[in-house]
Amino acid sequence: MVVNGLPVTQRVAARRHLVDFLREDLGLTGSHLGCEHGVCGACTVLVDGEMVRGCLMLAVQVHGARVDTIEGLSESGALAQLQQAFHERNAAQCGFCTPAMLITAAELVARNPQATREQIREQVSGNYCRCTGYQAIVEAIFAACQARLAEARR
Amino acid sequence: MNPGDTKPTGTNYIGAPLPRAAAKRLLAGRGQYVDDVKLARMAHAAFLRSPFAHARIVRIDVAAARKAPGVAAVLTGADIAGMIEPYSGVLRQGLIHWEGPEG
Repeated sequence: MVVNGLPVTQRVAARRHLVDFLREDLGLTGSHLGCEHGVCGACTVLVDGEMVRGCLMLAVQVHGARVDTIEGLSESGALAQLQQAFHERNAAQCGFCTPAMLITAAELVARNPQATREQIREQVSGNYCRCTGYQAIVEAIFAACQARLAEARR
Repeated sequence: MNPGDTKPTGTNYIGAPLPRAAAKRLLAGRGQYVDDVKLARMAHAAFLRSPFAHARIVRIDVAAARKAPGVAAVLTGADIAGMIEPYSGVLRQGLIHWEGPEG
């Protein structure tokens, strides 16, 4: 597999979940475990460019695939616009939900930057935040969408 | 500082929005949370929860658990009640009222 652009080869127990593999075997602790049964969204990572729940996937399932975590997506600058918007609007408090929020938001900004606030809420409806009350997160994503639209118009 | 000012003036931060120093790190996925902490010879805790929704604890037999390999300690409510003042009852000693509380 390729993780954040680097080839990785490792033997893993068949039952090892993807997120535990990333966190414990590769030290990529940016992906978090909140519920371990797929509802809170904190474990969201990209596999072959698609969002998945790391807690519901087995590590062996990504054999031959490309995995991107918050660490790689942040370092590459892919999330820079969203991170700036989150920072300006104080959309992260404790930060636990934030990596997955950013990854989930990025999918929407890329796919439909004209999204309404309702659509933004729908997009992150699978990502729990216990701190912010979501408003700042929605505003930050909206702002990032606006920035993306402004870029496209130039 | 007047209402509506957006930048702190001098050392007066009242009313001004302040950027958080830790925000950039958290946004990059470089925060450290309890589960991220790895210490040498770290012990791990596991909680045994009540399988019954309504019950009275008569006895908790931990003898075999204490002898199991790799076990540093097994603690029941009775064991720690004497160490904590006041004791909130987080590990139950008497009545169980819902399925889940630790004994």
